Amino acid sequence: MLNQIKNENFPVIRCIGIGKTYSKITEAVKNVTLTVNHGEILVLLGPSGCGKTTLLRLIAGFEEPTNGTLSVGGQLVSMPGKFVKPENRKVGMVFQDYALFPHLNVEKNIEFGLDKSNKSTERVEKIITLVGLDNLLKRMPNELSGGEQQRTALARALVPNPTVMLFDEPLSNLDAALRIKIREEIKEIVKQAEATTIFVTHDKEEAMFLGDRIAIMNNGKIEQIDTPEYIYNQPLTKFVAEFMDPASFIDVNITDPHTLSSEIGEIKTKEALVTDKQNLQILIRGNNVELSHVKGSCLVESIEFKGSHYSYTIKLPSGKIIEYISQDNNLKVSDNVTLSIKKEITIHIYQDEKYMMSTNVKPE
Amino acid sequence: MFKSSQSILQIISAMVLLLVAVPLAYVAINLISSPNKFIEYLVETKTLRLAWNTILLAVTVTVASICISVPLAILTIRSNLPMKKLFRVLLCLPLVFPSYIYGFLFIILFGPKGVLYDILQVIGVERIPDLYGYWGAFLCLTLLSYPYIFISVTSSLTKLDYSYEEASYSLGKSFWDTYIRVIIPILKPSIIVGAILVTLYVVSDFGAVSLLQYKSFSYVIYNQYQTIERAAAASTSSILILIGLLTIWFYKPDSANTNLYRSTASVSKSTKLIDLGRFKWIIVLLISTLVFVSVVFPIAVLINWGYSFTINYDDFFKIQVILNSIYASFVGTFVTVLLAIPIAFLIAKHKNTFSKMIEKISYIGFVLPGIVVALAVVYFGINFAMPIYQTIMLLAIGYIILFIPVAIGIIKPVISQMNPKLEESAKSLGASNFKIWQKINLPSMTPGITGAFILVFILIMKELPATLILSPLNFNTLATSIWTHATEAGFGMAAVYSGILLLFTGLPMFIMFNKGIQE
Repeated sequence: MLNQIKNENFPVIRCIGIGKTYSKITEAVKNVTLTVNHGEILVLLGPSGCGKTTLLRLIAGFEEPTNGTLSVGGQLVSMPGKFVKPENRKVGMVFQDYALFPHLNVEKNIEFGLDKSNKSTERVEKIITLVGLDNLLKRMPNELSGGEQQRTALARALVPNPTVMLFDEPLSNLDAALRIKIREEIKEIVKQAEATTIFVTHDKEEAMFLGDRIAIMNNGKIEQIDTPEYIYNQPLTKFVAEFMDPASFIDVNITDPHTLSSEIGEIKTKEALVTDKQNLQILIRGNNVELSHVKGSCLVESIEFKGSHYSYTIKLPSGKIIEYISQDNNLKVSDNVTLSIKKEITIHIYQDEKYMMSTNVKPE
Repeated sequence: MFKSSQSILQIISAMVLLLVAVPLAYVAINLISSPNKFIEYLVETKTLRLAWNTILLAVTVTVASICISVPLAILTIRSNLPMKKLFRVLLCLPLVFPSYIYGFLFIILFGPKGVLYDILQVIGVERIPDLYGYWGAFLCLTLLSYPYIFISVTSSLTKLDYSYEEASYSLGKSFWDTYIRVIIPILKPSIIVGAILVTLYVVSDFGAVSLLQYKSFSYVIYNQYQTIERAAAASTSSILILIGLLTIWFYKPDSANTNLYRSTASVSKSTKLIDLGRFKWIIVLLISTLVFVSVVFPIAVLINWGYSFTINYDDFFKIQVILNSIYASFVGTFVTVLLAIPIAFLIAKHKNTFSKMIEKISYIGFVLPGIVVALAVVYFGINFAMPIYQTIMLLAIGYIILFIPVAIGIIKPVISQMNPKLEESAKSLGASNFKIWQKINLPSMTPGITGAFILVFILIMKELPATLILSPLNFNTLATSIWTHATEAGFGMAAVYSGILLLFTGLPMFIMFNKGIQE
């Protein structure tokens, strides 16, 4: 299947209106529509219980969707009245705890997915070299380190040449240093194998590193699918903004087409704004604001040393909290200061906590 | 202070071990005193045939039990079978029957002129296969012992993560491939644990084989003992012990590492169960048939015969039998548990070569058939301890050897889990050793001791061959009375005593399973 698909933009996975309801009350996945293109890595990112693992299991065929249609590699695998079993989907899966067969050695585990008819030793050897397991083939799974188990699981899933690869939080059981090393390996291997991939995680750094695109899930719904840059810099919802990094939203009013007024002063914009909008906010992250020691209405609540910088928690007159990041350590708790938006940056305007538009701040 | 308490423990343990070694000494003395006679006896065709009979029965019952219980465990846990929980409980129920009760109920049901015969006669079948001999013993022991494997496999299957199945499916394997190549190999250690129990059970069974007149070792040993062929009985016993040890060697339980696989407490509720489709109700019918044949019919027959007997002949009934049973069981349990405590303490708290050796030796009783232990204790009594021969003391010694492994097995984990800081902090407060035992060690061991007491009491009350051989003259218990009446075809009286025995032993066991299975 993989070889026939030459077009880079061919959607290999296509979910349309997929939903999964366990009982009348619990809806794990609500009306999800997404596509993953050939060779692309899509990361499903969200807090635990957001439905990302359920969505992955629906694609793998371990669970049956309540509604919607699902196709993998051009084959319709799930729709009302039709369900293709996981064993007939050509979907490779790497599990959270690897699920290596404990009674088989590394080599037998890796070869498990081959039929007797198509025992392609060449492919097995290629993949063993790709994941670097040459010296461990006769080991049993319980004699392997976490990283080695991870690589064995990856090789095992790759050997049958699956149309898509699915990863269910495979790095969550590794320690921090190994996690970074293995995620680099996974990315390299998956890209080399040109496997279309969905990767589930709750770690945003991992998501930004691995994902060609990231889908942020919350409460069973997809809040945003975009490249990591867009997800971080231009979050579509308050949830996405706050999930990716500490973020604050402060209320603004459009007083004239080039001016926004807020409790930390006026902001001049390059582009003209439509004046009749109500309930507007702007997104503020720690590096969007400047601080001056001129006595103002903002209060330093706490200071935290983060190694590369200091993080200040600052309370605005309205009671809202903003994080301000600086290299300097020249403030004390309870100082009164003045905050303002940095010049020459892009700011994002939200209406009712949903993204509306972006505009550039005019340098004075 | 620490040293002295440890050496007291060691002395007590060593003394108990001397007791436990009695059967081995008995066999050894017999072999050394007349080795030629033993070898002559060993190569006799009669002996070889007996060995063949015993091994044939043990192997076929074990294989049949595996074939019944592994699919049943998978069906009652991983499939969409209706009434799974109920079936899980019902399928364990044969365990509550002692084999001598099951044996005579089997004769009433399926024997010549039995219930099945009467029913078949109505529809014109005149002949049914002979129940006595191999087939009867095979059927009876299989139905009695498959629950050992069923329980062992279900308990590891409920904890087994679904991701193994899912990994196999995602690698393109069908249901059958997945179960044959992944799940059953992963379950192998728990199958082995169950199979060891079944094989040992069959090899050492006395009740069923003697009632169904199958010439296996324990039946023949008893006949040799009755006809005062003491030397022959000793030789036969030696071979039986060898078969028990061979069983353990064959299965290599140490290598069956049960911790190889990952088990999980949180198995996803949403995972798709095996869809039995249109076979669902056929399977329900098959399992129900098994439950009816193995549990419902025997209980129905028991109640029917017991009830009609009680109505017609109430004066035959002897209350003394019940009192004897309780008395013997209580004395036996008391000394067994009392002696198990210091040994369990030594094994759990002072890990060294000596305590490891003690642990291994104390498990000997587990492999030894009751009849062999009984003969050894009789020999010991006649030759070295005549004053206690034909007293309850000698009977209690037999019980200790047989059941101390069970008591240690229950008490040891409780002690291992005790916080050593408690004892240390008591010491730092100046408590004496005696006070530490009285105020700290014993109270925290109470749950384990109670559990051991209940289980050992049940096991002793059920124990037939040791009670039969070691009891003082005219000291009849429930177990011996049931057996005596059943061998003389006094099924009504046997049914009455069986009902009483099952109330004492079966009911607590049933409650324990039920609790274990719900958890």
